Amino acid sequence: MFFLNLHTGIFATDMSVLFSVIKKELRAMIRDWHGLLVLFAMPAAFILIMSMALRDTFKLSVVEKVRWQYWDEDHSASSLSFLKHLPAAEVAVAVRERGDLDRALAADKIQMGVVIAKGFSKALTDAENKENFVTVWTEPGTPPALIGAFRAEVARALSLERITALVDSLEDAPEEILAVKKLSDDKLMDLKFRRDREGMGDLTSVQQSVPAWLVFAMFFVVIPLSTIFIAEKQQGTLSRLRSLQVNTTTLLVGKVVPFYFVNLVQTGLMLVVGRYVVPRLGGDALQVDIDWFALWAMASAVSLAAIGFALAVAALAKTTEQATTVGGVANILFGALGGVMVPKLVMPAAMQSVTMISPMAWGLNGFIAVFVRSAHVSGLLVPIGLLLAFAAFCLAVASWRIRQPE
Amino acid sequence: MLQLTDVCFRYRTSAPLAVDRVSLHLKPGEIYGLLGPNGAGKTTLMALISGLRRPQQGMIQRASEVAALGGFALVPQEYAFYPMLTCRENLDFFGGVLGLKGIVRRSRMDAAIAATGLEQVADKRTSECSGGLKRRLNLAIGLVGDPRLLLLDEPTVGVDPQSRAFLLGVVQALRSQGKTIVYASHYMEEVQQVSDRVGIIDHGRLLCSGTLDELLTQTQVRLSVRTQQPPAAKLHARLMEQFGLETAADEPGWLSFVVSPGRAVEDVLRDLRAQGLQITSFQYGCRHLEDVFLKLTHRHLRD
Repeated sequence: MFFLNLHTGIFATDMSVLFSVIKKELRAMIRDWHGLLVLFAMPAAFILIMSMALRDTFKLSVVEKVRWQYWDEDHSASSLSFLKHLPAAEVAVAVRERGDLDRALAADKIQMGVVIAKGFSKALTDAENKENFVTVWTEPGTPPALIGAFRAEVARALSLERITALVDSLEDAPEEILAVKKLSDDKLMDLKFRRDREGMGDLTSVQQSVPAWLVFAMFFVVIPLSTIFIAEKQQGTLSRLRSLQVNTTTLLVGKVVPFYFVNLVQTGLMLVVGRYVVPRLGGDALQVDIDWFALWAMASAVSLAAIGFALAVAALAKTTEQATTVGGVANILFGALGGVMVPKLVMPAAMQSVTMISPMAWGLNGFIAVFVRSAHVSGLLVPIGLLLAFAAFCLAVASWRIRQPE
Repeated sequence: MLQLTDVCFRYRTSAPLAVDRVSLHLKPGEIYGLLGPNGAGKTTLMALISGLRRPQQGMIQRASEVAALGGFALVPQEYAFYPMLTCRENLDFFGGVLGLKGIVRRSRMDAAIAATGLEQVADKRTSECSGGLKRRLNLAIGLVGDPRLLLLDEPTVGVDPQSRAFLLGVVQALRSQGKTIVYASHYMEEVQQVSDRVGIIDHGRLLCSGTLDELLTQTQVRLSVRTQQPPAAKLHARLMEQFGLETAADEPGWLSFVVSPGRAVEDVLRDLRAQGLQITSFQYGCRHLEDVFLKLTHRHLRD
C-alpha cells in the first residue's frame, strides 16, 4: 500500500516501513511519562475544577442562591410584604442597626444589603414620587450576573407592591380591578426560560468544560511530539533516517497516526470524567445523548489540526525549549482567544467575534454543537473544514521544513 | 565503489567552501582514513557521500550495490538513535526502516549485536548505557542493513581507551568481511592503525591522499640535529636561508631542517658539518601522520 507524498508527488511509502516508524513512536511515547501526564491528567483536572467553578455561571436560576439581608426603616405592612416577595435569603445574619448591614457586606457575609427608607409605603401610592426608597448595596466581589438577576427580582417585587398599593387606594374601583388585591407572588404571571428542547442538551458547566479542555489537551500534543522530534533532529537520528532514504511522508504519517490515537483516547477519557467523575463531586453529569459519528468526526478534525500544528512547531524550532515555549504559549493564546479558559458566552460581542481566529474555537464550537445541539456531521462541515485546512497548512509547513538540510 | 570528482559545497553563498574541489576514488574492500581537525570538512564530505547534501559543483558516482537501499550506511558522530528504546528495539526499528522483515531482520540484528559485543546489554534502555556502549550501538545500527559501504564519522569520540580499542578491532574485522569503509577522525593514531589509504583534509581541501607509506615518503623529510653549541646568529640565518632550518624545533636544543624529497640525508649532514655545526646526534624521517599533517597544514591536528 502506498501514500501520496504531497510535495514530490511521488507515491512512495512501504507499509512495513511505516509500521516500524509507528511502532517506534508508540514505544517512545508510552515511555515518556511526563508527556502523557500533560496529555491525560491535566485536562481531567481542568474539567473537574472548571465544571465545579463555573457551575453557577451556566445556571438560569442563580438568584435562588444569593446571600442577602435587609434594613427596614419604614416598618410598614407594605415594606414587609415587599420583602416577602424577594427570594429567600441563603444566610442568616442578625441586623440590629444599619451599621450591621454594612459590616456584614464588608466581611462578605452577605452579597446584597437591601435598605428600605422611611416613607416607602407612602411613596408607593404617590404617582409623582421620583425618589428612591429602596437601595440595594452589593459586596464588591458579587458576580454581575447575580446582581442583575437580583435587581430584576427587586424590581419585580417593587412593581407588585406598588400595583397593590395603588389598587388599595382606589375606593370606588370596579370589582375586576380590585381583584388585583388577591394577587400574590406565586400567582403573578412569570416567565420561564428553558434551553432543554427535546433532543437537545442543556449548556451546563460540564457540557462547556469537557469539550473546552479536551480541545486544549489535544493541542498539547505539541509538548511530547516536539520533544521527541527535536531530539531526533539534534541527535542526528533524523539525518540518519534521511540517509536511509526514509521519505518525509513516512516520517510525518508515522508521527500523525500514534498521536491521533492518543487524541482519541483523550476524548474517551474526558467523556468518562465528565459523565461519571464530575457528578460524584456535586457537578452536573455530561449528557451524551449525541451522534457518536459526529463526535468522532469532530475529534478527528481537531486531532489532525493539533498534530499538524505540533509538527509545524517542532519542525521550525531548533531546540526543545523553543518548541515547548512557543507551542505552550501559542496553545494558551489559542485557548484564551478560543473560549476555552473563559466561556465565549460571557465575552462581549466584539470579543466573541475575535474568538473565531483561534483553531481551538473552531473545535470547541463543533464539540458544543455535538454535545448541546446534537449536531450531525452535516451540521459540522464549517468547523471540520476549517480544522482540516489548518491541519493541511501546518503539515505542508512541517514537510517543507523537514526537507531542508539542517 | 565510489568516485568523487571535483566536489564542492558551501553552506551559504557568502561562506567559504566547506568542501573544496575534492576528488576521491574508493576501492572495494578498503578502509579509507579521512584525517583532519575539527571543522576541516569531514562531516560535510560524509553528508555529501551519503546523499544528505548535494554537491554544488562536481559529481559523485556510486556503484549500483552502494546506491541501492541499504547499500551504504552512515554512522554519524552523534548518538543517532532513540534513548528511550532498548538497544534491540533500536536495531529492530532501523532494520524495519530498511525494509528488513521477519527472520532476516532478526538474524541481521543478532549479527550486529554479536559484531559489536552488545549481547549483555541488548535489552537495556540505551539512555542507561555508557558512552562506549552507545558508540557500539551507533555502529551496530550501521551494520544492521549489511551495507557494502560504511561511512564512520568520528566513531570513537568520547570513549575510554578500552572501548576505542574494541571499536577499532570491530572496524578491522569488518575489513576482513570485505566492507568498504570511510573512517573520518581527527585521531591520527586511529587512522594510521586501521586505514589502507589516508586522505588529509583541511579547510575543505583534500591535501593529499595515498597509502600510509606513500604519504610518509612523498612528503618532505624532516631532519633534526643536536649540536654541542647553538649556532651563532649569522650562521643561524644562513642555515634558514640555505638549508631549510625551521624556526621552531620539536624539542629544546635541537635544530629541525626540511629535507627535500630525493636528497640523501647523509649529504645534508655533511653540508651542515661543513658549515661548522658540531653535530652530536640526529633524527630524520616522517615518523607518523602528525608530521605529514604538520608539513601540509603548518599546524598540529589538535590546534
